[in-house]
Order: sequence, then structure tokens, then C-alpha cells
Amino acid sequence: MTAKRGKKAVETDKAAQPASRGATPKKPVAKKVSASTTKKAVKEKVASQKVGVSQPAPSAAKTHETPAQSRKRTPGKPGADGQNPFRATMRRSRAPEPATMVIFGVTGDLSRRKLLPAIFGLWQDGLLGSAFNIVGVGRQEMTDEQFKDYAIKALQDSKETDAIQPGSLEKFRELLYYEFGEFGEDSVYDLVGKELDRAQEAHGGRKNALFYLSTPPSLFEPISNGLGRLGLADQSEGWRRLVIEKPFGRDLDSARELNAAIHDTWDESQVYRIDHYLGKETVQNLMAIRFGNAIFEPLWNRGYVDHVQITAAEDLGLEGRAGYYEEAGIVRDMLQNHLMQLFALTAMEPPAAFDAEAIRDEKTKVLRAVKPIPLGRVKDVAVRGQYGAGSMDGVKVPGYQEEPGVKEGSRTATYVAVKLEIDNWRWQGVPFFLRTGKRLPKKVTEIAVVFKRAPLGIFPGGLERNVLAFRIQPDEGVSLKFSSKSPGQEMVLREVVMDFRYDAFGAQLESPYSRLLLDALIGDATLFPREDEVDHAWQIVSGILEAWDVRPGKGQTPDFPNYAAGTWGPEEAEELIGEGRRWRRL
Amino acid sequence: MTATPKTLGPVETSVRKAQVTLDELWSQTNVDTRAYTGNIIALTVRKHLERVQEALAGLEGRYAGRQIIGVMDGTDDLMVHASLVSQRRGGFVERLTIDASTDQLQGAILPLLRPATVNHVWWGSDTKPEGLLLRELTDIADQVIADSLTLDIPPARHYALADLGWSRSASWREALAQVFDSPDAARQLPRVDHLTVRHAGGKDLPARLYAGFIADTLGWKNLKNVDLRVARCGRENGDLCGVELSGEGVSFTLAAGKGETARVEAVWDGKKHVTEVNIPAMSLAEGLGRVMARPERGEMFERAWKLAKATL
Repeated sequence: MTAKRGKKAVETDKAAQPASRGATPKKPVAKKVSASTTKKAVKEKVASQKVGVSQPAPSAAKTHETPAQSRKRTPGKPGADGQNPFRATMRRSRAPEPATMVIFGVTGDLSRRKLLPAIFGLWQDGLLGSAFNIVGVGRQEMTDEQFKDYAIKALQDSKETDAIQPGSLEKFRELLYYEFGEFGEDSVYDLVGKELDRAQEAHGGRKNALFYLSTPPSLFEPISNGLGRLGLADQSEGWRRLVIEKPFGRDLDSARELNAAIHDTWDESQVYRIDHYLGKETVQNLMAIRFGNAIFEPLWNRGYVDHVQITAAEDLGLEGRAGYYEEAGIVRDMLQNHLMQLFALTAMEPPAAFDAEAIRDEKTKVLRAVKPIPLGRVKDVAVRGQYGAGSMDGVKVPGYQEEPGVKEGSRTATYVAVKLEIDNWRWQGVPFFLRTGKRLPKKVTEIAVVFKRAPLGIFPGGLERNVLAFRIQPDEGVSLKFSSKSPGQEMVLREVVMDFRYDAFGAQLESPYSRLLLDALIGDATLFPREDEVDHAWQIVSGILEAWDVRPGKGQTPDFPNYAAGTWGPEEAEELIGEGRRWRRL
Repeated sequence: MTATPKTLGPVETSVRKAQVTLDELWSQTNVDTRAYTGNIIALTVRKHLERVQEALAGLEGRYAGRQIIGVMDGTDDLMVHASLVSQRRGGFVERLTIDASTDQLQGAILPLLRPATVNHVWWGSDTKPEGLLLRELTDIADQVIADSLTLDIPPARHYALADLGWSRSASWREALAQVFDSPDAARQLPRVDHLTVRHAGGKDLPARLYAGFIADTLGWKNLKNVDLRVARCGRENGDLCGVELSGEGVSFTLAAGKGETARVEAVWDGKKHVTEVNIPAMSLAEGLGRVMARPERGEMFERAWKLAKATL
């Protein structure tokens, strides 16, 4: 029966033939394993059993890297090359292959509040493909059913969960599995391996897996090694990727040690370091505005730009995270990662393409070009602060040292402002001022490019500077400040703001985690910092950490607290920005 | 973002005063910023007006900040009504409803378009478009949205043609693509030599376009190896109920299940793989939003259209 001439082609379903024709069942073929592979695995297994703690993993197998997928149609019958010809014609040209997502530390706060809602949102939107599973891994003993209950409750409780469609939770529940054990022992990784076997058995395809380490940083190395020991980083049966959360080390040395330890098992192409700022729509819009329009780039240099201000202000205090914050402080928590990424995206050269290597190459280049800040320069280019008691939104709040869990006389900085100078042709002489702090008057993240004044004032009154501001959060958008004639008989100029707000699109902004998780599943590392970027970012802040991390009783003691909660930080920050400039009042 | 505000209007106005009337309505809101994202001109007749209004009300401002509804079976006594339609997530879109004869509509619509933005023309009527009105509008259109097989509007060079039936089967296309995201499954495609598409209700045009899409992707020159079958699956008329690609030793079947899911059964090398995919039904407004999000030339649609058209 053909479809020719419409109605003739139409039959009722009763006449339909069975779905499969001529399908001949075959016995499954056992996979061949070489003797040397077996010997090696046994040797490693025995070694790990002897010691009973985490062992170094076998070296990263670089030869198994999955070739980059090309959507280009190749001659020959569609599909013969393993490429999906339907995907090539889809609006969504990137889609993950069937895969299992393995979350270590699944019962933690990040997983409950952010990851599970992000994954659920992607799944509910149909973006995760037809064969997707989640394996939660933790140290806590739980059955699959208990974990399913836990995850569903997390989704119901989290503010980040998308509107739940009828029946969705029940279906999503079926994708969830749980394994538990000690992360230093092999048994838990063996169970994870069995989960991958089971997923392959159920859905076909390869044993693709994304391992997400939602754990304290101290567990990155044992888990990475454990996965390596059991062969789970090997890509011969499917791609394997490792996602790690910041902090990537606590200083330059430890970051390098961590990278080296991870690279013992994983090739850099398999490693995805999450900085959730890069998943924000408006951070990506920075690239769209810069490189999708011709009018900005000619102005984006020392000829027109006076300076750049990057602000990430938080109104919150510690929110019960004193243990972490006392160790980290503002430099490790915000400056080394989030602000450095915003800085790199603002200052980098146009990339050759919108792909992972081109963009990360440019970010690395500009980070390399930052004038070093050795110990002796710190006092000239950086200001630190710690909040004291004050008032936020009309409510009295305690100072940092009164927060529960903070050590008496703590010298942890909760505010930092830093002046970065870039030694390259584009930016020579243009300072970039970065500031971030806790208990500032409001939550706002913004990048402001402040242009030079017009060379000659021919109108009465002073000349103001034009400012192009990218608001990352809240009120996401872009504004341009310029001068315009005020209505009236006199030629009086007044500053006006042309404002584009993201909410004009009328669409809800996606969670940064959902974008980054989808990218990691697809294998697109564009929005993930590469090893050398992280290394350079640590190099930039190393002098500052060295100057400020003095042991009690030694070195210069700051006069903390030096700003009141609810204010824009210490007075010294005003001096840092220098004469003729001022921090934007946000 | 605040709670959804109330729609303002409709207020009777004229073509010349329409902008002033809209400005007066804007002044009643607390909105400082208006973003002009595009115009949508919906041409319809009185009996379909309610459906068109409902679809446009569900369309977010991101696609078109101004909606112009032309009711073509009016009289020479031209009537214009202006309103600001509130949006689900806050904000408003401008709506101008013009009730007139087709001759008058042409002269009324063109001056009301916001300049220098994207123009979408939606033929929301089942009468065949003809005459000066359509010609004028397609001249300024970046995109024409219509039931292209019924109305016989062929793809043309100067505008992107979009078909709502095609748009609303997007989730079926995506679901099928997901089945072959696995390279092992994709490698079986050269063995596929027969296709069956099942559709709900008697209207088979979306199914025909869907079959054209699959056939073209597989490199088939026509639809002679395609069966279209009526089925009952609880989905709206015109929606699809399932699809089966088969050949020697292989079959890939998607069958609509409960709610918005479909069961996928794939058989190759004697092994059966069963999964489930989400195939959300798309409302008219969502279908419109989808095609308006990127008014591009749909080469795949045009190739599918040609194969489908050849069978009519």
C-alpha cells in the first residue's frame, strides 16, 4: 500500500502488520577480553584489596578518546557511518547519546537543591534522550526505593524544580537507582560498573557515563582513582566524563596536585570543571553581544575604554556555612573562579569559532597577560574587608565574627576589591576593577564597561562617561548610558539610560546547572574552565592569598571588621579605584 | 517579576489614532521599557476569531510585541480596537484588531506595523488566500505561517514558509531522532525500507509531511514505501499516534502511550530494546511560538513538503 492519492493510502489500524518482520533472535555474543587486560585488572584489584584504601588509578588512556562528532552528511546510505541523519536535520542539532549519569554525593545539599531539579527539568523537556538513567552514589545505606522517595521529595521541595507535569514524577522515578559504599574501597565502583552493564542490557547502545562528583573536594581524588582502578574511565565501551565542582584546589600548589591526580586517570578532554556562572544566560549573552554585533568591538579597547568594573555583590551573610567559609574566604569562594571567568570573557580577544578550544584558548591568553601580583604589589592593587554588625533592609544583622561557627578574632576576608592590569595591545593602561563581598546592600552581579569622556566639551556642564553595563543578576539585561539634550531652550545635557531587559523575551531563564549538565552529556566543554585557565586564575590570586593568609600573630593584621553590613565595603576600596573614577552605585 | 496584570482594553480607535491609543494604555501600566520583538499579522474570519485570539493570547511577547488581527469578513465600515494583553510571566503585548473587508485591510495593516522588526504573517483561515492583501503582506513578511498543503501555498524564495501541522509534529521528529542518537541504532538505518505512520482523526496532512521528512532523510525519492493509517490513541485529531520503520531484521516502532509518552521498541541483531520517550502535545500557541522563534528557511520542511505534495 502506498501513500499515493491520499485516502487510498489510509487504512484502519486493524489491518496493520506486526511491527517487526523477519527479526531473527540471536544469542548474545560474549565480549572478548585479552589475557593481558585481565592480568592487569587482577593485579590492580589485588593491590587495592591489600591496602584497603584508595589506590592510584591506572594512567589515563588517551587513545580511547571518542572522536569529535560531526553533523556533516557523508556520502553513502544515511546512518551507515553511525551518525544520526535525523539529528542533522533537527533544530536541536546537539543531543546526548543514551547515557547513565552517576552522581557521587547524591544526598548532599547541592544535589538535592540544584542537580536533581536541573536533571528533572531536562528530562521533562525531552532533552535527555530515550535511554537515560541516574545512579545516585553515597555512603549512606539506602535501597533503590528509599532513594527514589528521597529524590522525589527533593524535587517537590526545591524551588528550582520546573512546573511538574502530571505523571512526570512517577516516570522520572523509574530512572533512579542507588548504590552505596566507602569511596576509598573498590566495591562501590564495582557496583557502579554493574549499573552501567544493566543500563546497556536494558537500552542497548554503549555504556556512556557522566560521573558527577558532588562531594567535598577531599573526595575528588579517591573517587577519581577508584573509577580509574575499576576501568570506569576507559572509553572503549562508551564515553566517560568526569564533572567536578569548585573549589579546584585551595591554592596554586594544591590545584596543580589535584589536576595531576585527576590526569593520572582521566584525559583533560574527559574532565568538566563546573563554574555555574558560565551556565547563566546573561554570561553567555556577554559573548553574544560582543561577538554577534559589529558596533561594540571597535570600541572594546584602550582607545575608548577608560576602565571596567566587575561587581558580584551578595546581600547574604554566612547562612550556616561558617566551616567552609572560614577555610575558603572571599578570594577562593568568588574571586579566583566566578569573577576571574567574568573578567576573562570581558577582556578576551574574539575567538576563531564558538567552540570549546577556541574560546578557552582566548580566555587563557588574557589570563596569562594579566600583570602578576607578587607579594609586594598586593597592598597597591587589592583591598580586603570583613563585615561588622549593621542593618540590612531595616533589620539588624550580626557582624561576621558574631556568626555561628566563626572563630574568635577571625581574619577571614568577606570582601575583596582588586585592580587587574593587562599587558597586551588591546588593554594596556586600562584597569579592570573587580569587587565582591558578603553583606553588601543588595544582591547584584554586573559587568560595566566605562568609556572615556568625549575629548572636548562644547556644551555647558561637565562631560559624563558612557557606560555599557551587563547585568548578570537580577534584572538580567544590558543598558547603555549616554548624554542627551534635556527639553528646553538651553543646551543642557542629561544622562539617560537605554535599557534592554531580558524579561522582554517573556521566557523563564533556565537554571545554569541544566545548561551545563546538558553540555557535559553532549560533550561540549565550551562553558567549562580548562586546566590551564584554572591554573592561571590561581597564579593571579596567589600573591594575594600569600599576603592575606598569614598565620595568627604574624604578618600584617587587618583592622577587622572594616565595613558595616549593608554598606558597599571598606573605604580603602574607594582609594583603589582612584581619582576621577568611582564605583558604580548599584 | 510581579503577578500577572490585567489586560487593558479593548478600546475602540482608528488606524490613525491606534498608536496614540496604545500609548495611553501603556501609560496606565508601570512598565518603563517596551521591547519590540516583532509583528504578527493574523488573518482570519469571524468564525475562527476566538480560536485565533486564544492562540495569540498564549503566545509570549518574545515572539511578537505587536499582534494585528485582521478579520477579513467585515464590512467597509472599518473598526479598530486596541488592547494591551497581559502575559503569563508579566508584561504586555500590544494587540490591534481590525474588522474590515479584505480591500480595506490591506490599507489598514501596513501603517500599523512596528517598523524594522520581524514580520510574521499567519493565515489563520481555511479559505484559500488570494488577491492583493496576501501579495502585499507576503512582500513584507519574513515568515508566512499557514496550513500549506490545504491552502496550496508553496515555499517561496522571499519568505520562510512555516506550517503549523509540521511545527506541531516537532516532538515526534525529535523523539524519532532520539532513537537514533545511539550510533548502533543509526547503523541499522540502511536496512530500513518501509515506513508506516499512524495518525489520529481523518486529517492525514501532518502525517504525510512527517512521512516526507523521514523518507527524505533516508534518501528515498518518493513515498511509495509509506503507509498512512488512521489510529486511535487519545491524541487530538491531526496529531500522530505512532511510526514504524522496518526492514529485513530491523524495526523501530514509536507508539503513543499514556499521557504524553511513547513506547519505543527497537529490534536489530535479534535483540529487542525498549525505552520510553516524552512526546508532549503542542497547543496552537506553542506551535506558533515554535515556528516564530526562528523564522528561518526550513529546507527540510520544503523537501518534506515536495514529497508529500506529490502524493496529493
